[in-house]
Amino acid sequence: MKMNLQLKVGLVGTIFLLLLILIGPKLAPYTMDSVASFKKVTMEDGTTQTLIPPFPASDENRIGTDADGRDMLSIMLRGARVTILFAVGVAVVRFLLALPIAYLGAVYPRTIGWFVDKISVASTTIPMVLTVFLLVSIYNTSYVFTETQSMVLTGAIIVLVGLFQTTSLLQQKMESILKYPFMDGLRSIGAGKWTVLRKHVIPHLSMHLGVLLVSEIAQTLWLATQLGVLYVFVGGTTLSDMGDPSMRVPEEWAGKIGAVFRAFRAHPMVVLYPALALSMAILTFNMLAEGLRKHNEQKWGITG
Amino acid sequence: MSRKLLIVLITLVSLIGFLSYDHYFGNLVQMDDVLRPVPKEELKWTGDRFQSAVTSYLQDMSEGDLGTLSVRNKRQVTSGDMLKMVQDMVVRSAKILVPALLVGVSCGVLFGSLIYFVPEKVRKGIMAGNQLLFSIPDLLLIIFLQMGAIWIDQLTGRVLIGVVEVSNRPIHLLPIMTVAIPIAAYMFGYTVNACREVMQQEFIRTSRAKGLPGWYVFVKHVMRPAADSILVAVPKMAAVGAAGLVVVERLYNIMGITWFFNGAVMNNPAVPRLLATLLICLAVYSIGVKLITSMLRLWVNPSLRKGGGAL
Repeated sequence: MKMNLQLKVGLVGTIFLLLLILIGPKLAPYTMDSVASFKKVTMEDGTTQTLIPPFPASDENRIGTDADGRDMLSIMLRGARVTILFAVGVAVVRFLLALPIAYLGAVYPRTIGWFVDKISVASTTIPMVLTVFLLVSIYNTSYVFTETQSMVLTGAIIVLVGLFQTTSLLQQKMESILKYPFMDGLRSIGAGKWTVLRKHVIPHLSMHLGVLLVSEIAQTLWLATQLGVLYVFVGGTTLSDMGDPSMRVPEEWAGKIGAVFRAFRAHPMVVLYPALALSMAILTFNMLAEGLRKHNEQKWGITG
Repeated sequence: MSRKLLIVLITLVSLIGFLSYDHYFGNLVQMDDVLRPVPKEELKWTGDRFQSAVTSYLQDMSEGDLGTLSVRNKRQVTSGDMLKMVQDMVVRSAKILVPALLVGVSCGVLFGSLIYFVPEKVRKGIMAGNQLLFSIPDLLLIIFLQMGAIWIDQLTGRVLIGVVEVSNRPIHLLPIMTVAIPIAAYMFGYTVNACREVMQQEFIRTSRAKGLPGWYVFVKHVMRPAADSILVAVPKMAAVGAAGLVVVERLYNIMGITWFFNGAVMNNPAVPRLLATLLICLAVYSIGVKLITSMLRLWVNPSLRKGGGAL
């Protein structure tokens, strides 16, 4: 069967992102501890002038530096690993948790199903970004946790905050699958609940799962950008003596936008590079989700 | 085990193995050694502090007096009666959020409906454009809008469109556009899907076979059933708008309800009280939108009035 254009673009973009994740840090010309606090340049009249970052593109820094003097190209190349893996991790863990809860909700609609539905509605009342912000703020600027621990904890909070919305979506799909006539046949021959889930519900659901999972990755990336604007970075936030917040893990696209957005009127490229990289990633995952949805529709006649 | 599954598993294991190896043996830098952080003891969170803050907040709320608040955010000191401050913030945000929600939903539904009356190639182009719009983070959208506004201002030689709120001179156009565009993109998708679903029904084919004009069938027979599915999405759009407001208020320098949701000021013990009050306002806004859409759904869907479905 012929692949649709969106699926092709999505797959090419995903392969590109995967390559960036794997070899990006190796290709990066600098590490994150290479900080150029100032630079001395010789002017046309022969005088020497001291410049402060962000520096424009030069032979040493191909696309310039950020406001701390770190090489922007290195940040872009190294950032894919942290940013994309974080989003993928959050989406996968959320799905693994949501699947059994959704199944229980579909099997017991009056108790667990009702509870999931109500929690899902309640969680949409307050924007996810604000809920996550308030929870992460408890430890965000403290040094109780290491960068990796902070990242895992932030991921866990994002998983839990969006869990019931994802569960509710899966539950609706499962409820419609459980209404298929062959399910009555399975019940009558005494098939157990987990056998039904493993052998009959998940195979039917697998087409939707791919689409939903990829959409969740895009949504997590979007959320990470919004959190960055609030100075909540996935690896934690550090405060300088002056109280200025900066990233504990500086090679991350989503947080980078938030961290440097104040500089964008004077140095727009410092913000534009991470913003474009992140947009490309979100677009890739959205295209992949839409492409998969269309592919399923054409191949299996599955809509939604 | 199937061959495909085996390949997927081997790829995953190799990927995880490589990433773990690179994490432990690669050039990882501990940023705490590079930066000079504030001492740990100055940034300590304790359960006792949290408990006393919650108790006093609830007590003050029940008395209807949250006291005064003085917050130093960057170089600006804001102080005054907290409830008055909340009221001003809510008014500022409502001036953006409510028009943006109305404009976004209207535009999304309008374009989503009109797409069925344009040629196939144009339709595909619009769909691709929507996909692109759907994927642009609000921050990048703001940058593009501000650049466009500056370009127009330069072209006309006058400040026609304000790009940032300074000296209490309010700006509305760009913030409303920034919040409305993602809402319109989402609503467009919902409308297209809802209309497509209805158009596959038998009664639509019958109406067309009877010789009724296409636009008449669409307005009278497609839009009404589709409206119910579209209205279901409106509360979600209200949440999308509120989430977008976080970025909008920071980048356009608008002191609205999300202004104090800022990691830099969270160490002020009075700020959580303000945030709790603002969250209550946001919840009221969401519940209000949900109520209005539920009533509209009752109007457009007779089966709901007879108790045939859940609101």
